[in-house]
Amino acid sequence: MMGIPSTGKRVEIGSIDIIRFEDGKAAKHWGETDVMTMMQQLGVVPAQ
Amino acid sequence: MSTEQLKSAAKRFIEQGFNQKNLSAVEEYFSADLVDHALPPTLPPGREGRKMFYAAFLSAFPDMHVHIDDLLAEGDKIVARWSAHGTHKGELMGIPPTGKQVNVTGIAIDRFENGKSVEHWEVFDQMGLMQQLGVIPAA
Repeated sequence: MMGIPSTGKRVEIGSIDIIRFEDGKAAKHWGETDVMTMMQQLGVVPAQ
Repeated sequence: MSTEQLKSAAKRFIEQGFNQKNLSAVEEYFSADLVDHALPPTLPPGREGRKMFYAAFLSAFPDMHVHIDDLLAEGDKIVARWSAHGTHKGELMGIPPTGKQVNVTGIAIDRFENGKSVEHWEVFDQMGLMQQLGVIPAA
């Protein structure tokens, strides 16, 4: 993933997304995903 | 509280707490019984940890400014999509000041009871922040 070879590790992360609808369909999307925690769980970035 | 009151409370909190750097806004906005789902495990739980978390960022980025990009409220919950900018002038979580200007975005959700937030969720672009500070290589 993103250049990181598979680690076999199990990860659990959070995300918040906002989707704006126009004429019955999603037209805009904003999202924040806790990528930092995922990288720490993968062992790519040191935990705090 | 009405949804309009929730929005006013969130706007006041961000204006006072971050833009005027008055952290007494934390006690005004959050209940003493706050359950905080977004704190790093190194901080004490609840409101005390939330205040320490904000204090750490304000001392690292003394010129920090937070802008509310979107504010949504329904029932007893409020969602704030925000963006912040500031200059890294003080130590942050062990990172010495870099003098770098950073831009960060995040989304926060609060659940209110009796006029204060009792539950807080938040995700912000911590990875992007660390990349802008040069601590983590950019993807």
